[in-house]
Amino acid sequence: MDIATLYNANINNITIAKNAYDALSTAFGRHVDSWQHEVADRLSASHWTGPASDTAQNRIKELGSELQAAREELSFVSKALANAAERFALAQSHLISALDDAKNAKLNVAPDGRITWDNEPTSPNFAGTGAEARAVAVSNRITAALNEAVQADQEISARLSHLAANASSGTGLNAATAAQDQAADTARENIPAPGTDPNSVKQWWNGLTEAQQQRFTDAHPDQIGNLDGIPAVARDRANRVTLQQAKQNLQFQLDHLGPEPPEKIAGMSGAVSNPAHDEWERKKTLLQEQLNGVNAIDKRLATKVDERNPPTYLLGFDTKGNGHAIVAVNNPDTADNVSTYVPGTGARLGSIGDDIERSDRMVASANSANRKAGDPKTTSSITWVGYDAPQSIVPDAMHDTYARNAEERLQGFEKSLRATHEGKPFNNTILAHSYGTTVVGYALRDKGLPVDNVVLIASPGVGVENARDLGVDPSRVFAAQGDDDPIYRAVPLAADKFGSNIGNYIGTADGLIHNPDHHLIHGRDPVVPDFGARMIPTSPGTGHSDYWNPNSYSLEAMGEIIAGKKS
Amino acid sequence: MKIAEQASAAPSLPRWAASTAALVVAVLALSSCGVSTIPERRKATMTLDQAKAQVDAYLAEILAKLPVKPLASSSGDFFDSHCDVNDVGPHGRMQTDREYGFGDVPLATKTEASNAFRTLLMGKGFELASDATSDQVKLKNPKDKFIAVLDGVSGDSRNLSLNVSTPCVWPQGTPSP
Repeated sequence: MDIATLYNANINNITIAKNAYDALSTAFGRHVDSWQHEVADRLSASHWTGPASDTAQNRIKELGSELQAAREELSFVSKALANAAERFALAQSHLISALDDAKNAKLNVAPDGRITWDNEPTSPNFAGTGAEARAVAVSNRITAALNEAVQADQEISARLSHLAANASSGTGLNAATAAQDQAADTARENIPAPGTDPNSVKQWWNGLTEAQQQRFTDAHPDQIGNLDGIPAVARDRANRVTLQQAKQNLQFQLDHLGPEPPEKIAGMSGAVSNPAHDEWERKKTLLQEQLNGVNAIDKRLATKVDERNPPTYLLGFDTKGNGHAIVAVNNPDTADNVSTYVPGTGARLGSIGDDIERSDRMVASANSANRKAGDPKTTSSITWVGYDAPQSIVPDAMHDTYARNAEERLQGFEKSLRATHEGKPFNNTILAHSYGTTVVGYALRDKGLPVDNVVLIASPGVGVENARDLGVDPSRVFAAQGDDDPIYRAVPLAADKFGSNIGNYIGTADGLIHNPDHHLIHGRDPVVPDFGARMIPTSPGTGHSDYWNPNSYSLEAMGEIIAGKKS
Repeated sequence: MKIAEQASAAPSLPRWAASTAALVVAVLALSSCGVSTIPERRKATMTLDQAKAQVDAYLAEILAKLPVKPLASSSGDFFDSHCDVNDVGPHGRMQTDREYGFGDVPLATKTEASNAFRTLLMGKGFELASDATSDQVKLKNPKDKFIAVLDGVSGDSRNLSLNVSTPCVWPQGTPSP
């Protein structure tokens, strides 16, 4: 494919051919319908019986099936041609755009793609400083447009050849062949539903050409960006589009919220709160919070990459409810070590900036552990706000519904990490804080997660009595609780567990029990010996928010576990 | 860093007593630090810029005394992060730190660096932190709560690094209104 061929291609001719096929297909369909009504149905109703009738009826039935298959095959040709017109037009528009930009930048593009420009500052055609960089960028865009056209050409050609072979060999008259072609067509046209096995999604994605992938991403960024099984780079590309759309949308909604209603209105016995004002305030707070979260993500995505600020990938995003986002520091598909951090109560789009800071710190800590070991391995830490977290301690976080509702989403995401990872298997850690540990515990217990290490920070219980019940090697389950963290006060409300705590306390005080036990609202405290987890040390004075403090014991230990430096 | 092999850090008895004695109050308190901590957090501090300047001042003094120079590629920017994010508040305090790496340094140089580091900072009032590991010299200034760590000092480590971090401070010195 050269520039002139694509530039001059009359794509309208493909559309005309497609329309002709449509006409043919429609006419053929009418003939099939007519044949069915006028011949097959009449013959069936003719009361003709006997062996000859049976033979004829069977053949007519077969013929009906063959004609239906042929009708479908014709429609596939039409679809292939429509697809060809669309993709060639897209490639052509990319080429024209690049050539227009070249012209505006005073760059001359030769038919073979070579780009020249005037370097003489006094010349009226002087291309300006930085012309070379602009030329390289234009050249890359031209190459990409030509490749796009080549890929479209190859794929459409293969599809048409297949259909032509079906037609000439007669296999296209076979209902099974038509069904297969229909399935392939459907798969090409439809994005797998959310919840589809990530391995199947990955297979579907790999079966698409780059141009098709781009087309799906352009047309449905919200679906592609949040679909488990799509590689990180593609999810990121799609979600960045959705993020910008959401940013504009949230700002628009804020700007059009309308005037603030009066706080008080007249009631039977004086002024009372105005429900309209409360609703206005609630909407405004939610929109502003979500916009803050979007801005925090946007800022992190745009941060110049350096050792302290690794590249960031947006692996999930939406503004439903309190909003969700999944942000990876470094690419999890290529990293040697991957950690998913699940925050707890209060986690939402609006507060994700703080959680991304923690991911940054964990990557830095893991890098430090690797450097100390002389190990060049890379680490990605993902902040997973992919669930609806409780937003209050009382009453929200007292219920396990939030954890139960998150199980499938977390499992899908962890399976996706495995499905899309490139190269050797990676060391996979799931690390959670506070209610996030309950989410992780429930998901491990009820669904299973393909992880190597489990880190439970400041947990109010994880739904099991012992680390071995989490379905992973208990020697790879770690827990931490700071000496100034009030999480140990989140005791259970159930009478038996509450009584067990009191009995254990009295027994321990009396010296009758030498193995202290303790239950919290969502299960046994993971830091008691009977739970069977390994302890992560914490620095003195560690409160509920302090585990990621710089130079803290706990942050260093998290880095070691994530980096696979704790055997 | 040594991770304990068994659950030896279970809550101590007095903490458990507190938990069973005051169920309702306890659950309500779950979201927060202790009541006395909140006024403590509201107190005015140095500003974030002042804290950064202090970090750089400490780093400059330390680097001047060390027998090795940091790798040019290792001088990272300040790493700011928010404090108290999972507590009821007050919110808005920040802390920051800055780190330099020295690469793989001979043990004798590490020892010399450790001694120089310790001598300088302890002379300035820093004290040994109780949570230091065998691979690091961790010192904390009891007055301004800054922490300085020379990490990777053992023979096993293949990277020596220096980090100074601040306590939580209000970016403008006082709580935002």
